Amino acid sequence: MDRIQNNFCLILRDHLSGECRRDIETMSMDEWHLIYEAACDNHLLSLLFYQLKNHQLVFPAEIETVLRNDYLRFSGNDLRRKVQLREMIRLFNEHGIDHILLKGSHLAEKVYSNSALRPMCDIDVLIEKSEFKKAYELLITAGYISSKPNNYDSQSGNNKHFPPLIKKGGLAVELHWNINSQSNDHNMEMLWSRSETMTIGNLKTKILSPEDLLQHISFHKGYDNMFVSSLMVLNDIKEICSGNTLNWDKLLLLATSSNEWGNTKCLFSALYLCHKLLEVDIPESFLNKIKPDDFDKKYEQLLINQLFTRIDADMSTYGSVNALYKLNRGLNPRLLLKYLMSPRKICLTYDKKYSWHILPGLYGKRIIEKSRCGVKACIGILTNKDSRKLYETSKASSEIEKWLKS
Amino acid sequence: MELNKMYPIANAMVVFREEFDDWAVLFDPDANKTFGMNPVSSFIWKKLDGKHSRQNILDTLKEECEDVPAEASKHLDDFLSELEKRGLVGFERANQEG
Repeated sequence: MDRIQNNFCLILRDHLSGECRRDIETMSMDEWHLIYEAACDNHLLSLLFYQLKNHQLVFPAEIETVLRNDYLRFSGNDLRRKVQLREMIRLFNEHGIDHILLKGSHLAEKVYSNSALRPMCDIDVLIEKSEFKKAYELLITAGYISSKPNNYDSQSGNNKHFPPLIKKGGLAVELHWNINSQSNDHNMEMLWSRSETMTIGNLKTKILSPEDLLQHISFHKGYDNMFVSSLMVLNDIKEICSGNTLNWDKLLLLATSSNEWGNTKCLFSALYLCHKLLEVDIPESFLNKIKPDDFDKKYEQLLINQLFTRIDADMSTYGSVNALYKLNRGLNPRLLLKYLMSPRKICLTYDKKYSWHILPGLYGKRIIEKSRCGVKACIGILTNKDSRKLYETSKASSEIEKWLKS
Repeated sequence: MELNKMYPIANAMVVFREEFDDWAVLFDPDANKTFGMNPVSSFIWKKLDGKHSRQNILDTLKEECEDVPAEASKHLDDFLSELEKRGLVGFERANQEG
């Protein structure tokens, strides 16, 4: 780890030694800007400000002014989110729709003592499949607009949530019926049975058990994002562990049972990084029990690099470069099919009602679009330094992806 | 309007969140707008309860805060006017002063 990465992690820790404090306080202005960028990439600006003040560190006034403004902006957004969340819960409760708050909403409302420190870009809610249409229609009546109105009933394939519902001035709401692409009906039933009731104001709602929450956020950041710019999840785990409500035996059972989460690599990676970088007290005996046999220094370094990886491109460009890297490694028919998508998914992507006769047109469109993106990405890699960097990022992510999913 | 005889009162719908370092955030749910407030503004906001006149607030500010500038009175008027313009505060005429 370089000095910036190291000092950024030190700031996020609960305790700082005198030596660490001196090293942080002697950083140059350029280094402080890099710290700021790392926080921005990881959506940790408000937490960075809080930690710097909390540790009573001396840092440049210019950075303080910018960070304070960021903090106040996040705090304001958080107040706005709270109102939106309460309105949604009230609506669901009035109509008897059982729901579970997932990820950010759960963490901000229940785990973090200061919810402004846990920003989010959407509100994720788990709904039972049978209640899905009712929940969707309620939100539409309440002023939400579907980003893909022709596909409100698309519940097939690998999709685990409905296309986001948007409301002016608010966060997007994602209604999930499934928690990850590996879950089946049995897993979901068990998850619901382990969920806990909590109150927000005078409103009753449900949240995942702490063990399921830990699994979910680790799995989501690992399996779906390959831990790219995922320092926030380490802080989430730090907060969950400081609440002292975890049952490690139960977590072990859930992680290792193929009937439950059945994934230890994402969980191990998240907990290991949390323990190593933020000095969170994770029992060594637990880590040893779930440590993958093939985990070594190489994967440790790759995982740390992922946390500080910056994707200087929109997701479409990154997706094209990523696809190009994977295709370059071997023309895999399964991969080609994945990019072309299933009939239902392609209708969802182009927001068309599912129907066989429009499929040839959509597949034609998809092939042309993907070919164009591929050519553009190829030219970029040959002529442009940033695209080559993106290609290298993609390469590292693919290596971690292969390991996490093996 | 004679501000000295008026008792400013915060809009009850507005959410005031005091932060860990004495700064604060106001959220007006009707307008869906948020405002950052420095420690002095936060101090003043907490006095906008309809029980403190503008003069009471200025006196308390001078008593409890350090380095209050000579033009504090004008700053306070500007601040209250700005809040009123945004619908965040109203004024009540009370039947007694102080």
